[in-house]
Amino acid sequence: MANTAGGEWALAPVKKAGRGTGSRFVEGTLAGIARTIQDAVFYEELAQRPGLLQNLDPRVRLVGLLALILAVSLAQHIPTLIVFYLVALALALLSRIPAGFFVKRVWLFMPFFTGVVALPVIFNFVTPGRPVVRLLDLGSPWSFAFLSLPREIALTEQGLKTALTLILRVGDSVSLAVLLVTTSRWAHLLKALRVFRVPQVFVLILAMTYRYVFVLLQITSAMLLARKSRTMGHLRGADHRRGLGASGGTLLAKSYHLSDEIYSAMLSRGFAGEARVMDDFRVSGRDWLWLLAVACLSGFIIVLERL
Amino acid sequence: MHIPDGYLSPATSAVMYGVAAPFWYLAGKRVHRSLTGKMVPLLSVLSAFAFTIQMLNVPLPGGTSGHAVGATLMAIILGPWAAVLGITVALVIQAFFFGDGGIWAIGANAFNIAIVGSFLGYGVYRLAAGNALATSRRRVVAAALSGYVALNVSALFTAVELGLQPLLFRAADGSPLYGPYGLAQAIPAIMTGHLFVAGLAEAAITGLVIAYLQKANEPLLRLSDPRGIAARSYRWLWLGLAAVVLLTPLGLIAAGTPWGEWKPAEIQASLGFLPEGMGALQTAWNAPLSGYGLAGLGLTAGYLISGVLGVAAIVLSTLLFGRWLARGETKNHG
Amino acid sequence: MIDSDNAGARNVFELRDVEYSYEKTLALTNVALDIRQGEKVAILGANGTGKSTLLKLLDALCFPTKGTITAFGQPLTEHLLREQAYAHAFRRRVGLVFQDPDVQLFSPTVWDELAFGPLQLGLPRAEILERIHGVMALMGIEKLKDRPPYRLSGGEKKKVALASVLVVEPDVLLLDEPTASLDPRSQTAFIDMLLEMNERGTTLVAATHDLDILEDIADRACVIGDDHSIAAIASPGNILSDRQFLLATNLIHEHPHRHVDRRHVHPHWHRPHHDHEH
Repeated sequence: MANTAGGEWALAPVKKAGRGTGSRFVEGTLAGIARTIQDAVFYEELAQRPGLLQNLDPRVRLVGLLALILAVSLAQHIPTLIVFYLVALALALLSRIPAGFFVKRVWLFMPFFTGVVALPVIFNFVTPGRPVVRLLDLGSPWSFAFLSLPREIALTEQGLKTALTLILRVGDSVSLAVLLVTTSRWAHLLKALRVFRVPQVFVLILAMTYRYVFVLLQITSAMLLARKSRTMGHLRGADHRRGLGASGGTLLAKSYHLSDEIYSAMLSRGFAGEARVMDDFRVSGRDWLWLLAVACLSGFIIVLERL
Repeated sequence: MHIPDGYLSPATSAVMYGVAAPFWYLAGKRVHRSLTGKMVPLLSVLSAFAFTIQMLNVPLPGGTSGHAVGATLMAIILGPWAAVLGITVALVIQAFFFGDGGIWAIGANAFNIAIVGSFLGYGVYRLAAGNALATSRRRVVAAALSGYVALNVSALFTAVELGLQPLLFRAADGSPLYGPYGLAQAIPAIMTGHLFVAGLAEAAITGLVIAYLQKANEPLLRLSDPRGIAARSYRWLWLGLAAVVLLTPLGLIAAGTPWGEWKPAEIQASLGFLPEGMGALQTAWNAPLSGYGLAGLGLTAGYLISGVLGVAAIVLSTLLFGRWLARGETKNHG
Repeated sequence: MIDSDNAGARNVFELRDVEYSYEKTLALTNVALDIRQGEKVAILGANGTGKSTLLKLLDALCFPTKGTITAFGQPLTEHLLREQAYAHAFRRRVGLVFQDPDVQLFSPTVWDELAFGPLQLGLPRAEILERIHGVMALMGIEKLKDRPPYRLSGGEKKKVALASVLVVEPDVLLLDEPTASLDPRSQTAFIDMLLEMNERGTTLVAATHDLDILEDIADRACVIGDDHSIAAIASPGNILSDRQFLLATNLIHEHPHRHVDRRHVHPHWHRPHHDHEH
């Protein structure tokens, strides 16, 4: 296992050899693993910056951000959703999250999912309504199997509104979730989950899962690299499928063995099935101020919308 | 298939947390009883395994690739209860620590992926594998089949939850507030991707890993059933499967009112509240939906036909996939 | 060979006719061994002979399928370990440092790792904080306090793993391959630290196949052969000078080499990470 300092081994760019179809998939996986670890390392670094959110009590930060995400899901109007995005952006800046990263992290990947999902909604054959832009005149209505199209294809006001609402709502939610992830050291976030009465044993399982995700990602990476170097990048589909079974199976067997050893190590230090976690959180005036601000903002907007 | 935050209304998210909670509670109890202290590291590492296996690129016929979920695989190895917890933990880690998938949507995602996936995958596997030897080819095919079926049913639940959003939650002016597509659009859109891509990836990982373990690490295949592969009654499994079928949209049609034709009063009765602006919309949303079902046939027939087509597609793809998988296997043995 | 000379110091462990098998595979057999308070014992053997199993038996993580182990004058049984009071007392007195630090570092941060043992054993909060502080100072790892384990180097992991056991202040320290994955300088520092602890009264039992460190870390060496039973118990000097014995127990091997322009045969130590760079 590559065991050098700080997981830097995974931060090196993955070379694109691109020969043979199999190696493309292996490289895709390797790049994905490297990206995951890079992200985690970067988030951990952001979480240690002295920003607004980072300075809050982890429990209070968690509650506040979750409340904001809930408020976003209760909002009904496009201007409200825009206000929430501006709030998220302001929080990011005050928490020293690079604006470029923050905007890209949300809006660069969004079009692949929500953007594509929202696209058809803007047309009149999905959302009937007042046409804004007329695109095409088919001459007559047209239908085939599940589909039937009206004579004229157009973008409708209602459709555009629906699409924008969805995109903004998802964008707001993801932005706030990204704020949570990038301003919380994960060890603190874990302990903060205790405010929701999440059982200690579940917190311990989450902690250990996150911990061993990294170990297993390293093992997988090393395993795939070894296989790639043995096969020199020439893999046919069938070979790759077999390799996939072997990788998954080996990983499962290793995981099982690892869990046995970890259990021994835990027992050896006095673990008896009951998790005990210690935290040192203290709520200060600043934290109350934040909660108050979140409550006012969400409450005010939600109520105002419905008047 | 992970639903991000923003697609489901808060009411739906809350209901889904409510639906998932008893499963989590029971799973916690069951697993705790059978594994005691060892549960903590075992579940942790295997949740990490589920997270990791979701990162493997699976090459599929036609040059595409997909990712597996691993719920069925976990259920076959550890039993469905432990798999429910393991996959849920992986989902929580993704949402809270990597910002992927929704936080308020965890209830829905856990129900669709972890709970439906584990139980259905396990049930189909036990039924299809029967009493075959632990090392038999039949078990590999059963594993692949169960992974395929479970993932697709998970996707169907996801599609139904999303498809209900515009029926139930609209702004005062009639535009959908959350997921904008009705059932007639959401189900085919989501199912196509899963029937032809994601389902195959899940089947591949499940089948191939079981095939590998048969050769390399047979004891792992006996974990969830320490007494070995003994003859058992599968009646409860059939009952469970029947219940799942009843819960699907087809079952709900038989239960009374066709989809999309609920009256506001009925919705109020079954949900305990009346979604915003529903009354005013009654006519507004009936019109567009009935126009875009299966041309001219109306919604009920549309669903029945989609259902039949879906089942046919599943059976056909499974047969093809089984052959494809067996081909790789034969080459493997020389 | 059973060492009969156990007069004088008290024995912390007494093993009699111990056998252990797992799923029908024999891991250890016919083991008779005494470990005296305050001494340094090395368990030597090639890979797969059962060294790690022996350490786990001593740490009551598994129990003999045949024979008896006595710890601190009381028979060590699975039944006894189920009593929480006894289990806590035992876990406070005996600590095991695993070979693979990834197995031992399961907590979110170094600080949490150090807190794990004392928390499980129910120490009071103030004392836990004080002990963590003390052990971090001792090992010089204060700056790693908030690091997650995946941000540690191999040597740092090893240090933290040792610290996580030392924080409980055990009387007996069991070590599995203590110097594996350490560079030469950290290895020397690590051994010095162990010796210092031994001088303050800690009993050391180290399983290793690194013959280079044998004379430093052991007063006595117990060699386990390929048949999973004890092949010899003797002083490190005696064992290292008996080449035939070392070859027979697979602790060294001979094979031909090419040194620039001539071939010759010489013996090799079996190192944890054996690589041929001559």
